[in-house]
Amino acid sequence: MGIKSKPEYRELEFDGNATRHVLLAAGPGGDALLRVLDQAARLGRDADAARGPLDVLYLPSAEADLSMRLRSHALGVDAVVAPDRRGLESALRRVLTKAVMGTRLYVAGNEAFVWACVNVAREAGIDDDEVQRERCGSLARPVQCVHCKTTDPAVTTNIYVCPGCGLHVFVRDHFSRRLGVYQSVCVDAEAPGEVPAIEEVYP
Amino acid sequence: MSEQATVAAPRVKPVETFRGDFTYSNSPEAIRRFPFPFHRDDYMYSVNIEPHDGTPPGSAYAPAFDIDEHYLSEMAERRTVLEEDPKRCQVLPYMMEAQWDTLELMMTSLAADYPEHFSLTRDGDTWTWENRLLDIRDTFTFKDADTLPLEPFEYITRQVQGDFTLHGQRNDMLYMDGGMVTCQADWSLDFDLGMNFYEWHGPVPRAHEMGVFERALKYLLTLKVGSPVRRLNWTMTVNPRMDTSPENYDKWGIDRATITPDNVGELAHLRVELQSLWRLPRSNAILFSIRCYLISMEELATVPKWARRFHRVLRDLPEDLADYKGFIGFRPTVLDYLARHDDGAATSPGGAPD
Ligand code: HEM
Repeated sequence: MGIKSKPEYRELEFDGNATRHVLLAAGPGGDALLRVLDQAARLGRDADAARGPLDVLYLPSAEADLSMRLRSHALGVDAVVAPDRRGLESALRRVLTKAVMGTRLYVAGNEAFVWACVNVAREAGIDDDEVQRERCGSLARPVQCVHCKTTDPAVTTNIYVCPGCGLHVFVRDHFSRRLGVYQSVCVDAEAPGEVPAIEEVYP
Repeated sequence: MSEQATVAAPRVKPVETFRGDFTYSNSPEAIRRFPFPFHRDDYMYSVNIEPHDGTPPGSAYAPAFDIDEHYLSEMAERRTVLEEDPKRCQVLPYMMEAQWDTLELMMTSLAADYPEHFSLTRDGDTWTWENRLLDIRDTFTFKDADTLPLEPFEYITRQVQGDFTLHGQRNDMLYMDGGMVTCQADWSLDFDLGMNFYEWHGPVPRAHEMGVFERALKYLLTLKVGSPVRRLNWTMTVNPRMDTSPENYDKWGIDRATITPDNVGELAHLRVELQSLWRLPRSNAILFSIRCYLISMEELATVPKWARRFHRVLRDLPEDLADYKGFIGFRPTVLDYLARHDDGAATSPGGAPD
């Protein structure tokens, strides 16, 4: 548990009440999608009709590429494998131009990926609460420096040197869903040069 | 205090500064009307909300939006901040109705409370607004944004002291949907924009666990048009610096290391926010007004009751609150100063001077 603005994540779970399913993952998040597909398959043939359309959009990463396993899953869905995050986001926009009522989104990946997807969905009129989120792979945080507003997409340490302004900034738990970033603040403003030990806390 | 005050009732000083040479100070009258926030000798978070009902007459609490001797200085400071950082004023697109609600509430309130300084003439949708303090006279069409030089929210909040935020209400929740935030106590509008009530209060210690925010939100959700409420919040700031934003913390944070026994009376300030909350009639949004008052320890000590009481409050304030509010480092120096003004005598109830 952290502060109220710090997002929480949980294991994705197939939602039998939804009329349409959009599954999104990056890298190791593909495992979470395979789990959801297994759950859908277990509902059996009778459920097929009721289940409604199911889309899978996947972005392989250096950490993991599960494209083959997603494509060959017994459920026989036609997984879209995107070349980069841009491609995945535009594929998601296309999928969401069809009716969104009753649509359930499932997102799995690192935090930067999860919130990029949530924000595309929000633009399409899907509420954050209708998106299931599971964090997979690296704990690296997307962080925005509050001073110069430069975002570093993957910070693994408690303190880092902002690539924008060069200040030593501390990573807070305060998180903006709109921007999809944590906030970082100058760590030695009150005692210039006194920078505490830098530790890898988000490996 | 200047003798060539530009206008009467309330007397407004020529521009003083909240940065650089820090020429800001309070006149004896401004000190006496300072909204001292402590009603007893100790302090803890609570749901301290009361009607904002025009009482007590003559006090800083009485006007809908308090205009005081620092008006010109604060408006000049706001212009400077916005020039450096336009994102201090942002309103999400679906809040246009709330922008006009805000403009109407502020114009009608200021014209009623301060007829010498402000007037509003309405002929159907054709409105003429006059702000004699800033030498503004504009005729525009209500609800036609093209007839104003700026969007309505920014236009009017550049003419009223205090920070302001706008909150849409959806599914029993309030959201940070806009604001004009240039004199804040260390929080970022740009970062908090779009958050819900619990999220933007995320960094506050204790109050979540105490149930303060849950009860406060419940109360606000039922706020009625025409029945505004208010509360006080406080912290300490080094120098009379209005813009203690996180954006500029890398520049002002160092001030906290400059307090010494010799300068503490002059440099350490009690910072009080008189916050009022208004339900807006057309949009059903809530306008939150955060009016900031600064008083140096030296000025505070001219009211014996306040120095005694603030000494006790500050001394007994739990560490986590002092840390969150940002003065844990220089608290001992302030306490030494205030101790000299605390003879142990009993203090009278309420915040007003004896
Ligand atoms: C829509 C109305 C309100 C807005 C926009 C608002 C906004 C804020 C913000 C931005 C902060 C700073 C958080 C940070 O550290 O980043 C804050 C602090 C706080 N708020 Fe609110 N607030 C509102 C209403 C209330 C109400 C009704 C209460 C009543 C109990 C309350 C109690 C507090 C407290 C206790 C703090 C900590 C202040 C300190 O210790 O200095 N707020 N608020």
